[in-house]
Amino acid sequence: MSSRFEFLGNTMIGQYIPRESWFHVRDPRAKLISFVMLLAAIIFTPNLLGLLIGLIFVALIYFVSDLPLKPTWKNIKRALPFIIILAILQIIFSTPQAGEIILWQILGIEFTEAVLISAATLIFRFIVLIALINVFVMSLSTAQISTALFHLLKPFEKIGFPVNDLTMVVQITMRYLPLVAQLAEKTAKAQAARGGDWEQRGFNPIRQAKRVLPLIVPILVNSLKRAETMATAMESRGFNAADQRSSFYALKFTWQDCLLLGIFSLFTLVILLVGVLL
Amino acid sequence: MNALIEISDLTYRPEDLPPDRQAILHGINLEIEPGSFTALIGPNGSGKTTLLKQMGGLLLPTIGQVLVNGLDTRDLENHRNLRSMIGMVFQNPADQIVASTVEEDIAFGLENANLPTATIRERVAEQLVYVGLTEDVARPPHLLSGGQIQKCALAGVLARQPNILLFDEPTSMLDSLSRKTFLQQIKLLHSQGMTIVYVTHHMDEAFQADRLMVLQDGQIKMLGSPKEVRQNYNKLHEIGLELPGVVVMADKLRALGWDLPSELHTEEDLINSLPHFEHQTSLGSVKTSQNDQAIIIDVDDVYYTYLADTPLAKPALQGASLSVSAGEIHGLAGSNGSGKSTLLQHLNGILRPVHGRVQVGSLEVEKPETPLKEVIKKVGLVFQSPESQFFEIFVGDEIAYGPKQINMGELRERVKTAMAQVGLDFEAFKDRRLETLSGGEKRKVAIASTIILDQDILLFDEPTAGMDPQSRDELLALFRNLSADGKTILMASHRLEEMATVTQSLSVMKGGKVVNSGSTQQVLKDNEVLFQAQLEPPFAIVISHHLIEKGWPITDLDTSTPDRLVACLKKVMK
Repeated sequence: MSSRFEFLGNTMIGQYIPRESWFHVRDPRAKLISFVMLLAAIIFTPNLLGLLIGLIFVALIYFVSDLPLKPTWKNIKRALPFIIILAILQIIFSTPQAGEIILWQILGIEFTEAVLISAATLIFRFIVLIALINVFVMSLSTAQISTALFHLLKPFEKIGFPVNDLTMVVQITMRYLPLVAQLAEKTAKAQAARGGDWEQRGFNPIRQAKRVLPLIVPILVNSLKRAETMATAMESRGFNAADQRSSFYALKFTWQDCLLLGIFSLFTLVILLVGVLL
Repeated sequence: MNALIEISDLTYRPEDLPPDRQAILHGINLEIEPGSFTALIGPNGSGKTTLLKQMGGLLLPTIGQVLVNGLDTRDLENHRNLRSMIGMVFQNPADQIVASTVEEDIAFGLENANLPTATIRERVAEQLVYVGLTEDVARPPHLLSGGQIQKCALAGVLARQPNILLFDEPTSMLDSLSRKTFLQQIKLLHSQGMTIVYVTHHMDEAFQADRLMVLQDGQIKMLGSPKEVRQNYNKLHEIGLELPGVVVMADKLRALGWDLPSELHTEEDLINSLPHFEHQTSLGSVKTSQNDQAIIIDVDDVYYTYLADTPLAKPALQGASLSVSAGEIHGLAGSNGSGKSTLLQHLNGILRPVHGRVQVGSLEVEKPETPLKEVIKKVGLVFQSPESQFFEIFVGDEIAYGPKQINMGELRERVKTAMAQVGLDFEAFKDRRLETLSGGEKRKVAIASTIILDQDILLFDEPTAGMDPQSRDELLALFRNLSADGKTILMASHRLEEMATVTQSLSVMKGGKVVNSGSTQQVLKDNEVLFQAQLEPPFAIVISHHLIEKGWPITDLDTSTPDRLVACLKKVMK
């Protein structure tokens, strides 16, 4: 049984699983661009076939990079009720086009084939997206993301874009989220131990809101205190955003990274075009 | 030779400090020689951290000046050089880690120095070996133990090759064994010529430095070698500090008429000069007190895993069993990560086990359908550093939160009683703002805000962590009073010294299991189990083991605290 107090498990960040797979060792820039392309393809592909190809491709990434499916499955299960509510809303609020055959009519809601397909597409799209985002966080460490960002944005430094500061902000945010989750967990437990209302009984937004309010003050205060300590620690280790910094990671773009980009570009195109052409 | 750090006439008041408050530091004059090891000690809130930050140039003097290697910290031009000369390690391990894996964090300071990647990699690899973290290069810092994070922080600082190291209570979050290892590493650095300033409130650590500086209310009250400070025992006591265990012990033994050398600084010194048993004695019968009270907490074969079914899954309890009798003070000892906190959270229903039975009084807590609200009326849990979870503004409101939640009547009376129990005056404190309290007062408020529910069973998780000796003694006295009122107390800690003074029975945890349980004096004498559980036996027990080897017939006596040991020795010497 998982506990209602495990906030840490609900954050995607920090789920990186180190592996030596071909996919894992590719240049983070190539991986980052590839993911962004594929993400766009899955969001914009108009039909089920495109999504199906997307799903097969994502499954392939899981296989190549030797990553477990269980965490992803858990995330999908957790999100499923919300996705289904969205799909139902879509059915309720869609108006059938003229000439469409109405399959059933329940409580004045008309079910047509087109509406059912679009609802199914919506559910399917979210599932593929969750699977993709999960493989993304499991195969790219936060540092790889920030290094990739740093190098990709580097050219914009010439026009005065604060690349150094920005990547540091990204890196520290990612470092902090698990800490904030831990803090929230600790505070919630402490309040529950003193009679705070933390037991899950059905869906009651007002009660949930009342629960969260007393969490905010300690989390804010503690986060600020932590931020101050961290700023001091960073300063004492010579961090000065105005200066030049070097990097622990020397990135090297090889033909294999080009191959990765090539494969992803190909699938991106296929997923997007399959709907338009068929 | 010139001093490396030269502080003259330093006064510091932050700009936002109200005018009626005293400056945090005033009139500090100090010189620190290259290659020296200076310990900085003082009660909570005495200005230790602030002084350390002044030496590191992280805070600037309001009046006076701080020169490091001749560079004035007030001159911003100097800061780049100062940073590369000085390394700092802070108290809370987690807050100084910037990156998401160990190796990246060690690299952070080198990236800031704009070194080429190859050099960075080389130095990181070197440091990983030096501090012994080669196994954990790619682990995220929030999943490391406190000891490991502190090593990582040290490595990150050393990689920059500084000449001065400043430490701000680096061991206060570590268990005794990690603390020892860490201190050994620092002493090694010192022997290699590093200049070290070390803030601590562990006297036994401070006495290992070659110079000791005692700070109180922002002023240097004592400064000298450990020997000089020791001789001025009365003043030390006035400030609220205590002598290291070995010194206290030696004095007590001398009072028995034992002939011990006057220079005893380390435990080894004392152990080597213990006398053989040369008395004639017939020992009276050993009385062992039998506890015939009813069992009130009964835990059987409990399993629990954090983040189950995720890549980060971490088993915390693996078949833990525990029983506690009504009315006793029971200790739960174990190193960091042995499962103490997790077990405590099972006892008040915050966590429910995957497998196993948790019977508390008449409640079957393992069953998810046993409502949490029923459990917490019987069992109170005070978490580790509870003051970090305050969310009200005034003391009275914070304490009243619990009874308001479960609609208890007579709120004012209840708050008054709870405050009296922890020794806070109702009128004087109820309208104080929480942030104006001292560390010890905050801890008392946190305890009052739990015990106000008048539970039969009270659980405390590391209740004395981060407290100076005086506040700690007050807390332990409070536990005795609560116990005298008929409460059952279960207290988790890795400080066996405290366990020895306050608990009647003791359980030792290791790897998510209870590996030994019994009367405190019996459990503490089992060296093997304590060693396996990475715990350090109380010093009185260590001494008594050595005395037994030298023929002293004290095997079956309670020697768990210095006073009890001395009493036993008196008995067998007559």
